[in-house]
Amino acid sequence: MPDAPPEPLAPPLAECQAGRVRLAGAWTVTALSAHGDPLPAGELPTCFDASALGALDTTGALLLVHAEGRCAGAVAWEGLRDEHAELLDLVRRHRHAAAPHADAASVGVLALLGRDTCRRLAEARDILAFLGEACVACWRALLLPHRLRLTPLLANVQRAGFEALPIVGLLSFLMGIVIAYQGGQQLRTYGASLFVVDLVTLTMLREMAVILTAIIVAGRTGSAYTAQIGTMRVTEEIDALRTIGIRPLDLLVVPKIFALVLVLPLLTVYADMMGVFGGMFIADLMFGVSFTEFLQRLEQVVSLRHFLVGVGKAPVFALLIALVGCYQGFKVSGGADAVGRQTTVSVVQAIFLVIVVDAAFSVLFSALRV
Amino acid sequence: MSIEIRNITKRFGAYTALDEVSLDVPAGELVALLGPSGCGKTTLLRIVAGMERPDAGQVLFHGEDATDRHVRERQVGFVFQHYALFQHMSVFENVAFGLRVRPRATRPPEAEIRERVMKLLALVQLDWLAGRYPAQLSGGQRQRIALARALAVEPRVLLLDEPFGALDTQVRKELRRWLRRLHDEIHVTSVFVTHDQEEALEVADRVVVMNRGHIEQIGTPDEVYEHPATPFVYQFLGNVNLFHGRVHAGVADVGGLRVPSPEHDAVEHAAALAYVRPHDIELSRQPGGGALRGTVAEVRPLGPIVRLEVIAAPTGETVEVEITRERYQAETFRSGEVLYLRPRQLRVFVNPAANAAPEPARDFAI
Repeated sequence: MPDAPPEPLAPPLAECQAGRVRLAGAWTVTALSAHGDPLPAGELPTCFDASALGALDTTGALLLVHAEGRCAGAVAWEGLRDEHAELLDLVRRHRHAAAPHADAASVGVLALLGRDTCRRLAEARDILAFLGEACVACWRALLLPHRLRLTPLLANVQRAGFEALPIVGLLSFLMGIVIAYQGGQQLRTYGASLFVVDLVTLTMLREMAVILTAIIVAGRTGSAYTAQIGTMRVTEEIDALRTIGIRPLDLLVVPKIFALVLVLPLLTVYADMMGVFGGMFIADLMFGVSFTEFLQRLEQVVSLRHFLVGVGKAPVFALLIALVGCYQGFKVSGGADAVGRQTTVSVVQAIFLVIVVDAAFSVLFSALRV
Repeated sequence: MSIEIRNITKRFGAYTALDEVSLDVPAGELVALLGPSGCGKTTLLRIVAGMERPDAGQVLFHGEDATDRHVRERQVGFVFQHYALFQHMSVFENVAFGLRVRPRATRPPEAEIRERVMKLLALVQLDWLAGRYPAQLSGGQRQRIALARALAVEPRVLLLDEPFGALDTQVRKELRRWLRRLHDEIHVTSVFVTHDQEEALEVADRVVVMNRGHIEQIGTPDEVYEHPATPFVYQFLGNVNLFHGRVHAGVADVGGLRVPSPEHDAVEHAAALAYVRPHDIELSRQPGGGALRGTVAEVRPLGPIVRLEVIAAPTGETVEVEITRERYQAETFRSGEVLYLRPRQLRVFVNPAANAAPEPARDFAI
């Protein structure tokens, strides 16, 4: 853009006279913002007289190019200086090109940091608000259990729990096999094959079964929660529920939370069994530890405490997965693509949180010596 | 039940969606909020419904302040542009849902729910579809079910957000006549949002024309069409020809035409805009007092009317003129012919810079 000349700019003028638009004055960003757009509204004559046109920059040129679009036909320019004609051509060619993003140029690190902080704070506030609302909704449901919606609750139990049995079972079984095989080979070199029982049972019961189940459920059920609520937001069904007089949280979130808190511990117990069974299978097949020996050793090694450490984490993970899934669902805004995006975010966040919280539990348990 | 809207302001960040809007909707009326997209009409409707909180101002239902009342307690029926029917429920269940989910104390018995739902489905003339699912219905049918669902909870106010926006022209025309008849039958205070001026003029008792978060004019369909209060209303309601001119001491000079404009008696030498509807221009082959000379540039027959584009001689501006097909067949105007234009009705507005509505893109606004 040309620099503003030192002398005050003549105001931009446009007069419609005798079938032509007479342009005069400075058509620059400063002059135009000071004096406003001088072009009259409505359709313009098709002859532009630029002989009295003073300064011109891209802003003025863009305005004139827009004005050309409002004429009935092609515009005939008169008295146009060469440099102005060039500028107009430039603007005509590039006006539809995607402008670089306003802040893409060079934003300071500090500005980026500040913007990011604000965004995260806003997000934290939203999460807290949702958490609070969900807590209130759950509390209400616990106070008035007869108002709890049984049908959606049972439907959720079936979908999140019963229908997940095959995949949870198979994967736990395979995980048991892998742990027993990898560990057993090391133990065999020391002639301590029997310790494969300790390895498999403690690993499965304390950690692997619950983590594996939580990850599967996050992928299967958490994502489904987000997709369902997100789709309902896109189709305005959530708003429709509100106008009918229903709290969307009561109908959509509370049954999901309750169902998952109920189902995940049960799935974990099932995963415990399948995982230990997988280990038992390999111990017998590869390391000569028979089922009877395995079970005898298991009785000596495993106490109720180990079992509870694993299963006790399940309701916490269930709560995390359900809350993240529902929260991300409510965060959907816009169209169908937002549903997909938010579903991905939901799965990643849920798995991330499950593993972080599991690590926190490990620290806690080791401090408590359980 | 009447609705009063008092000085509602709503901002989204730096953008002001509604600026001190006030509006009264008397009980039993059907009011249209009409305006281009982004004028704040849907925001206003959502504020009335309670789905959006105003930054300032009040909403009164029947004289009672409802601003802080939750949407659940406002007893409004809301119809969405994209129907928002519950996909996994049958038509019957959709309509019955609002009654089914009530707490036991206020929930009607099952037999009554059934009777009421079937009555509503009969009202929207779709009782034969009770067992179907929304996905199996056409757009027009879905919207009627959505209306039945909104009416099921016996709302005190019915709010419709571009109810026919997603439908094709034929269905839309049919449905809006049907909505008008339905409203005459049940007389629920209703507000509907539309950007289609034809729809607003045809259906509503009163039309509220909005632009950029302001109300431009409130009036019956006749009033807003015949006596537009501002240039914006003139341009938004139908086609219009715009002339630039000057006004001085009660006389407007529009393209060489001198038109008395007594309402601007006190104005001296001001720029003026004059609006004429295309069908308010008389065409003739004879010159005469108060006529503009022009050359026919194009003749376009459009169904029942014929539209002529005439280049007015003094300014070179294109003027659109609409005449009936019979007239056209009797006179057979041809392109290239010289004609004289005589506006039958012309509105003059002073000072276009301050109140001209559709300004060109102000890219340089800083």
